[in-house]
Amino acid sequence: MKSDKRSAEAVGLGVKIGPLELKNPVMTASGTFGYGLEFEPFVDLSRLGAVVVKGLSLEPRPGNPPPRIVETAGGMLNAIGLQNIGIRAFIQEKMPHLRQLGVTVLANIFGETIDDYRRVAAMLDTVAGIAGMEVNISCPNVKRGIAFGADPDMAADVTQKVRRETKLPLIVKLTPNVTDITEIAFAAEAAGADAISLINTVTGMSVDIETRRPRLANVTGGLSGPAIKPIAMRMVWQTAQALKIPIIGAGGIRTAADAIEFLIAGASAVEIGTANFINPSVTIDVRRGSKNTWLPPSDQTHERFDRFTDDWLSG
Amino acid sequence: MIRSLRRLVRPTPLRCQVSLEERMACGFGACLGCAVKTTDSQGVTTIEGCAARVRFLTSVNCLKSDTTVKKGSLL
Repeated sequence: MKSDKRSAEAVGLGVKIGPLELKNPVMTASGTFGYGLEFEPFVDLSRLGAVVVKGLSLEPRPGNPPPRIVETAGGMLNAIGLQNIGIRAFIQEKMPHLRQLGVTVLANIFGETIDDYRRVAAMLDTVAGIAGMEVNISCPNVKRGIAFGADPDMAADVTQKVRRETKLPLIVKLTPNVTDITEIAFAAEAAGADAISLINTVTGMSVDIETRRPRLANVTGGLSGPAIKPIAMRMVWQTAQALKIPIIGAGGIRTAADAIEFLIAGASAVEIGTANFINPSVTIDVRRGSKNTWLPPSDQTHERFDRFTDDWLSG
Repeated sequence: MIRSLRRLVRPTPLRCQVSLEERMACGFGACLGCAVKTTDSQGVTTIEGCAARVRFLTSVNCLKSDTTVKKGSLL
C-alpha cells in the first residue's frame, strides 16, 4: 500500500478537470456506487480520484417496480428509476462519514423540472465536503416528455440555472440517445459547464420469449457495460474534438487499458460503473494499472491523437 | 405461496420472515437492482433492497394488520 502511494505520486496521476483537482483520473459512475459508503469494505474511498454518488433529487424517490435489471450480452439493462434518499437525507446521513473518510465527493443531481435542478444545486452549494456537482440531464422533462439532454436549448437552460447557484466545479453528464451529442455538449459548454461527462446509458429493451413480456417492468431501460464502450468511445472522441472544456469518459470501462483508450480519445478522466458489480474493487485495480502506463495530460494526448489520425488518414 | 403463508400466520402470534427473490446485479446493496416494494406495519411503503435480502430480512411482520407483499416480487 505504502509503496503504491509513493509510486503514484512519483508518476503524477493528478489531473485537473477545469477548477477541479483530482488525485487521479479514476472516478465512479453515478448509480453504480451507491453513496460510496456501501463500497467501504472493498475500496479505500479516499484513494479514488472522485466518488460520484447516486443521483440526488429534491425529494426521496422510491424508483421503479421490479424487475429493474436484466443481464444482456456484454452488459446489462437497468430501470432503477433514479431511486434515492433525497438531497436532505444525503447531506445529513451520508456526508458526515464521507467527510470523515476524506473522500472527494461529486454530487450527481437531477430534477423533474428545471427549478428542481436549481433548488438541489442551491442546497448543495453550501455543504462542506462536496468537491463538485455532476448534473444528470438524461432524465425526462416531465413537462415536455423528452429528456433534458435530448435538446440543446433545454440542456443549456438547466446548465445555466445550475451555474447561477454555485461556484463549485460543474460537470454536465450527457445522454447518448440523441442524434448529435456534440450539439448538446456545445450548448452545455456555452452555458457555463466546467466539464462534460459522457456517456450515460443507451436506451434498450429485452423480451422473455416464454412469457412474451418485457423483462423489465418499465419495458425499456438503460444499457451499460462493455457492449456500449465503442459507442462511448466514438462520442468522447467527437466531443473532445468539438469542445474546449475537459471531457470525462464513461461507458463499459473494466480495465486500465479501457481507461487509457478513453484518455487517448480525448478524455481527461474516466468513470467506471457497471464493472463495479463484477469486481467491487475495480476502481482501485484500474487506478493501480494506470500508474504503470501513464500518459501525459489530456491536452497533450489530444494533440498526439490528432496527429496520429491525420497521418493515418492522409496515407 | 408466500401470500398463503402470510394468510396462515396472520391470525397467530407468530412472527414471520420471508426471503424474496429478484434479479441481482451487485449482490451487496449498492445498485438497488433487486429492490422490492413493501408496506410496513405503519402502512409506509418502503423499498427493501439487496442488503435486506442478504440478512434474510424484508421481514413481513405478520402480527400487524396492514402488511402487504408486492405481487411482482414473488416470482
